[in-house]
Amino acid sequence: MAGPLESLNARFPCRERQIGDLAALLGQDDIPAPPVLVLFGTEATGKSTIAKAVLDEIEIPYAYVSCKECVTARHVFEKAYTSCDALITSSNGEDKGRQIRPDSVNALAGQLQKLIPSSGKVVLVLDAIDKQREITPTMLSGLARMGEVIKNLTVIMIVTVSSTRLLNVSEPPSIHFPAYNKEECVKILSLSPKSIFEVDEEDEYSEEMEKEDQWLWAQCCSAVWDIMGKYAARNLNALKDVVDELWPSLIQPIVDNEYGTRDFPKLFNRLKNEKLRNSEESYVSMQITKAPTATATDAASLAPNRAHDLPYFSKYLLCSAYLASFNTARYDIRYFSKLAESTGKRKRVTKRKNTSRQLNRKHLGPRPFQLERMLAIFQAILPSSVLSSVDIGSQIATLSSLRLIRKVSNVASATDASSKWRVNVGYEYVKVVGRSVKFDLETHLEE
Amino acid sequence: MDDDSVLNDDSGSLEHQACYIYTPTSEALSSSTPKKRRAASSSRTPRSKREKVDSKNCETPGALGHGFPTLLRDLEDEYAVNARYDAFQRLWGDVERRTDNVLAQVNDETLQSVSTFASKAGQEIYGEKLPTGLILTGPNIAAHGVLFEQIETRIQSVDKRGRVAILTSKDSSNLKNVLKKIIRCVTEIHEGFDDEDDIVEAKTGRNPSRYNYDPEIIHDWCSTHPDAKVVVAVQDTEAFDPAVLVELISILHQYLPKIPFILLLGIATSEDIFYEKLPHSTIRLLRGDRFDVQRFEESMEQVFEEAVLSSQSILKLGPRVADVIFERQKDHTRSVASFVMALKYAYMSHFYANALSVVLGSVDSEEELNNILSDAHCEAIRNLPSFKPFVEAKISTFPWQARDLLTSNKALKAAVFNASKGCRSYSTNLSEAITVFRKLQSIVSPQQANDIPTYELYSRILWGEFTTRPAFRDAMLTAKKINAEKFHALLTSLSELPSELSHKLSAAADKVQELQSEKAAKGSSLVSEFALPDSHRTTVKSGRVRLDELKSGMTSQDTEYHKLVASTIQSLEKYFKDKFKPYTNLFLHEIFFYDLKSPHSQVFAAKPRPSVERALSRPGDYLGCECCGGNDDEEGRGIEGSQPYTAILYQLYLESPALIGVYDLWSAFRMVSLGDKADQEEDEDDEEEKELQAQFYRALAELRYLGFVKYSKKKTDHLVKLAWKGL
Repeated sequence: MAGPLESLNARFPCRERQIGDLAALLGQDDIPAPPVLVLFGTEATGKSTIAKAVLDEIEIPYAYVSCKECVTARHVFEKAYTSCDALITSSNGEDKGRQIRPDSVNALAGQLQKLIPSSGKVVLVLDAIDKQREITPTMLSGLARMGEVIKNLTVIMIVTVSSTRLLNVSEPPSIHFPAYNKEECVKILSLSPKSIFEVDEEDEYSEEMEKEDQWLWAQCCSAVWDIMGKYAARNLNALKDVVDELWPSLIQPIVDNEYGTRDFPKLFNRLKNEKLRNSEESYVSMQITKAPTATATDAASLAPNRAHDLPYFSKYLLCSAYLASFNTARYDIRYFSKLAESTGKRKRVTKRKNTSRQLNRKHLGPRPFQLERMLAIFQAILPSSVLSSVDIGSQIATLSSLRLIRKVSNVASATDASSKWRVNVGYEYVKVVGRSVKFDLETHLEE
Repeated sequence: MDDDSVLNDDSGSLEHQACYIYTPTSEALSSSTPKKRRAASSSRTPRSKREKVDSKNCETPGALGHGFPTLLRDLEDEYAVNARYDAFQRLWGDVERRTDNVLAQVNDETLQSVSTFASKAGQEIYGEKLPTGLILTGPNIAAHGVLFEQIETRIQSVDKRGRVAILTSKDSSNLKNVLKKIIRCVTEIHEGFDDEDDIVEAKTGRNPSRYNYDPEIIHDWCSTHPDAKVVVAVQDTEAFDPAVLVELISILHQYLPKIPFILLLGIATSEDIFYEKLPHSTIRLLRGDRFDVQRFEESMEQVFEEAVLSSQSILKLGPRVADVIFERQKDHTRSVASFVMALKYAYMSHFYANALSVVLGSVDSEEELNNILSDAHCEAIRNLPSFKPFVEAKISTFPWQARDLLTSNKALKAAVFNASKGCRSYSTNLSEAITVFRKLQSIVSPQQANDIPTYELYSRILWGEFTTRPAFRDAMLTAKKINAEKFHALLTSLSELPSELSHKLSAAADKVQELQSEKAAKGSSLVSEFALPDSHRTTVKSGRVRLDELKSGMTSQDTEYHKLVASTIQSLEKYFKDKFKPYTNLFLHEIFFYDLKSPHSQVFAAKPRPSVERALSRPGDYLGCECCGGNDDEEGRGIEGSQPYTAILYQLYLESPALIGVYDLWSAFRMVSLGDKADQEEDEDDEEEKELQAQFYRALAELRYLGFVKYSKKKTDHLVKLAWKGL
């Protein structure tokens, strides 16, 4: 028994306990397996991988259903049944003509009871069952008790968080997969280091090179963990993504023969100066695309031109929608009246407001406004007046289908004057839009 | 009629009906429906007056199949009408074909890169991430459908990289529907998708039947189509329900090991907004590239050059109509498709309403032209505004020719043929000169050339005032000041363009080259006086001294170069001034340039709301009768009892606050309508009073129907004001 587990431990370091537990619960021939087993832990802690690997190793027939792949609950049941069916028919070698689709937990249990032979163990792994999209209150507990109804069946449920409430089964045997800490992460990532130099087929991959690779890779991993482990790369996969991303630029100086492989501090400093300082945020938000690789001068001259522009009046409409959302209606006359306004009064009021501790409107989120009010503000902030026409209406429609503004009320006609709307983009975006038409948003915005 | 009889039969029950049809009794009330009076405009040309007269004749659609009317007070013969129609079909067909070609090319680069991306994207590059292409489509929604169809055809049919499923926000009601649509698009199985949880029966015996939303169906399909990618394209990501999108991405990601999914997301606003909408955990599943669609300005410029500037387009846009069209583009639509529509409308209305447009159909052959121009046509030509200056110019030089033009149709026809040639060569020269100028501008001041597209210069150039504009003078001044190398480059690239100056320019370029090499032998470069640095000395004198110093350092090559620069720029300037003459100088420019702006502004930017508001607040404008006081002064005389009741009520409504008491409104209405008699006590039984009340309700109902008021829930018998005038 010790032999296979050793190899598992080598493949999956830092998980000796969990592997041992799993093997002990399932792999003892003379002891019946528990009806339900819960594996829990956060993302990227090796739950599914280890469960599959252990089950493979101890050679128990198992059916694996990834619930994330399933769209509905019925879909889960169908998959569970068909995979169990495949498991047993393939070992028996007989073919059933008609397909069965259980559409409830009961039906699934009934069908499985008929299907599963009375000797030998069968394991059904339900991966990420708590992430299932159409989860009903009884579904989880029903599935959990299936193992009690059907002899020989063990249901393994892989979930993120375990609690007794979850399954309504008192203390099911459960194995916790804790998140990896720094040493463990580095150790795991070090299993598959990337190489510094591209290895040609003719060049043999010397041991020395391998050592260099491993050393630098481990250094890199631990440094990235130190910088980002707290907020950006909280789990193993995220960390791996970041390291993968940074690796090519890290080793570039080595490839260019500027630094040796052991000059890690220098290399990393350089990397930090070049990439991390500017785009640290981009690693936090994990952009889909790589940052434009064009040279700096190129990008600067092209940048304003590349952007697709809204039509002139659409920009003003967006600004007025923003103002209508963030200003209160009773101050409209003060901000938008074209008549001369006594500034003294305005100052006094703002002072009083400062003493009463009100939150900035910007932080309270947009409030709905009537379309008519937005049109009035639109006319007020335009440098020259424009007659409303079909074009203005169609621009409002365009803005709404771009979801820059959004209809809130359910009035039948979209352009009904009394329908309620709300702006759907943030201050920064509107400010840029306003600036492009030389409109100063700030002066019209309530403090 | 039925309603009337019902009314008459049981008039006693009227009070209990929510609504009834009122048939006015007195004659004043049964006046005919208001007819819209044409807004008078002083800038009307004689031609359009004639058109108006013509338009009366063509009330009855022509018996001809195409519906073109007979113009020139019915004097136009059928052959000419048909010729006009044919000319329209031919000329517009030609423009349309060329425009379509340009538009097909516009997205080609994007399509190419998307298609390459689709073929390359795979596990090797993106690992476990879902390959994602962000397509920055720009905010012109109308073009998105076309673009994604092009992508579909490109990937699916032309390059055969796999299947494309296009999703729009309409499909985004829930995940099941989205998956069903994808499966249907990919597998082209159409049975079994109608019901909620239907089963798709397997076609081949090997695969089991599945739920109709099960992505395994695609997996089965993939097993029979190795190497085929499955591209899921979301056309309007912004409008797509974010929750569904998140689930869709997670499902696609789950199946990625089995099915080679590729996600394309069309982003109309900006990437930042897109990132804000999705959770980080979802974004982390995606990796890919971004593709930019050609910007509006660039494609617009290309289309403009092909459709308007090109010498193949015989009918040109006049400056006024061009201004209207391009202003609308800039302010409202920013879409090439709407420009093409506007252009087509220009062609349509020109050939429909201008009898002389028949000339455009036969500009190439004098014989044909002579055949087609009837006496009526000749008379119409003599009435053109441009005919007068043309003849007057002849009088001083060739008086007998001027007489011939007035008396002999034959001479006129010959003149027309020559003039049409002149118009065409004017346009050709114009487009050549514009190209030369743009090239010059793009070399000497690329920033400015980027900022102002050609089509915005166009109307200035046609008015002939472009050469006095700062943009033009700037370009010329900078051209003088650029260094020798750049100047040489400028000359060579300008001489490559077809123009009458190209010989001269290439000669100058050779000369510059020669001088430069001579100077280079001495180890310095050519400098002209123009290019001397501006002095920063504080006094005029010291500045002059400095300038003299610099000048004394110049060699003979430099002076020669200086002369060359001066003469070249001068000839260029002369060339531009010559070509950028106002088009109104031309005889027959009314035929070759379409310049009526009111049809465009009325047709393309209808103003329903201002029209309704104007009709209600100043009914006299439309009714044109004495009693409503519309005719005399421009502001109108305010509310009067003689105006239509709805108009009276509307004007009272304008003066009232946001919450209107119905009784107050009624009192005011009664006051206005009855005038002096209003002082009398209200008498319930008075017939007139009753009728007035009915009119009041009818007017109120009309206002409500137009969306001006609704009943308030806050206060009984009150109305809420919904619309403010002028918005």
